[in-house]
Amino acid sequence: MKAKERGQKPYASALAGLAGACTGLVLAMACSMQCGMQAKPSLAYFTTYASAKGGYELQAGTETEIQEEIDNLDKHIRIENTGEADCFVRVKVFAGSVTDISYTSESGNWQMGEGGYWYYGKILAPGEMSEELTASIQVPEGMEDRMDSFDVIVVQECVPVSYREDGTPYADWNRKIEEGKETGKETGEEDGEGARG
Amino acid sequence: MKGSERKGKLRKEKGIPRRKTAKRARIPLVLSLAAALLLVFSAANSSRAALTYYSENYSAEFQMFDIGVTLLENGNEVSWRNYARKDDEWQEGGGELLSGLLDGENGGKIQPGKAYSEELSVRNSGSIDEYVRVAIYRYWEDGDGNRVMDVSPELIDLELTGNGWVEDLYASTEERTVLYYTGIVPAGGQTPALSDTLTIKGGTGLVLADRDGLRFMLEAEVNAVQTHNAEDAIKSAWGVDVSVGADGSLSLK
Repeated sequence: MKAKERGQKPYASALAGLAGACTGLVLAMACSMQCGMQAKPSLAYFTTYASAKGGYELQAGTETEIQEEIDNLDKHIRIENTGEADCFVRVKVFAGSVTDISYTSESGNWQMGEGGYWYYGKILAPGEMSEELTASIQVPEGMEDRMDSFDVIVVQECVPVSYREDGTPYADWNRKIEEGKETGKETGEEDGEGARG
Repeated sequence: MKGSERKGKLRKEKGIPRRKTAKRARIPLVLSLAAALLLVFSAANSSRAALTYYSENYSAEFQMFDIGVTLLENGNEVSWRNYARKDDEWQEGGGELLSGLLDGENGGKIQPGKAYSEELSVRNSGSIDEYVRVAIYRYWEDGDGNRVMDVSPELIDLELTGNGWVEDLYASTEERTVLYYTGIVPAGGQTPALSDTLTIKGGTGLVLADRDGLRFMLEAEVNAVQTHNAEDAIKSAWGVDVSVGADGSLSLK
């Protein structure tokens, strides 16, 4: 009746309502199509993936200590692995130029090798002690009265055990690594510790 | 009149009533109707069976578009993710890399310098052909699982075979190596191994001498994509430009 009052025909408002509804429907369809089109590209190609990871803790940190006993002119040297990784050890004894040193290794596991070092042939496991190497000073003739003034210095070094590709262990005494990278092979003391006696 | 009398006499003699004859005439009609009905129903049944049969074929056809990929380590399945359209779900699972590395080895200790077998390859566990790439990450972690940046990933040496795999040098870093398999991996097929050995370099113990509890980590991620419309699919999925040869071989642009 209000339409009549405004001078409009009654079916005009019905038509307008229908048109509005149609527009709404078309808009809704357009929206849903748009959404569908946006979602489609991610579904357009078949893809997949798979991943896995794994790792191991590396036993590192080699540290050794000299255990030595002095018995007259003999020095009994043993090395203990106080670190957490297997290592090889070697020692060198200095006693001045006038004195000769003789060495005894009852076990036979100490061998004279490169650079004047005595190399222990077995791998030292953490907490393990090497067998004994005895260094005896030969006092030169005429110097017996100065026996107390001789200095015998033992330098010991350790290096972590390296392995060849087939798993054979070896000691690489020439390897040097700095700041997390291998810088090349250089001769030097990687982990030295001296002892005077 | 004479004849009809004789007929009536004959019926009376034989004792056959006239109405019974009419019933007998309807029996074949009923039987033929029943036969026709049976025929119709049997035809309907068989057509139903035929529909079921085609329907199964139809769903089997959809399974042909399932993509899937599996990472293999020394021939063992380590990780997989396969789509199953019939269930409309991804079947995925797996374990860890390197889990069998120290089996029967030196009391469970890694031996720096020793080359351990580490053959990584990819199997197409889907039902469509695909292209694959693998990103390998090597890094160090501390005891809390945090990444350690100042120890070189180069100490973790994964020896690559190059057997059908090419490295994307632009995408590779010291820590990450990205390898593309240049051929199509057919459904059910498998690539050659991309690596053969893993070695922790001999001097690693020295680097880590004052570092406790460091772990070396190896991570591999496989991506697979359909071969249909491959150049666009790879650009869309992986963001790299490739060209695909007439024989299906992939090359990086």
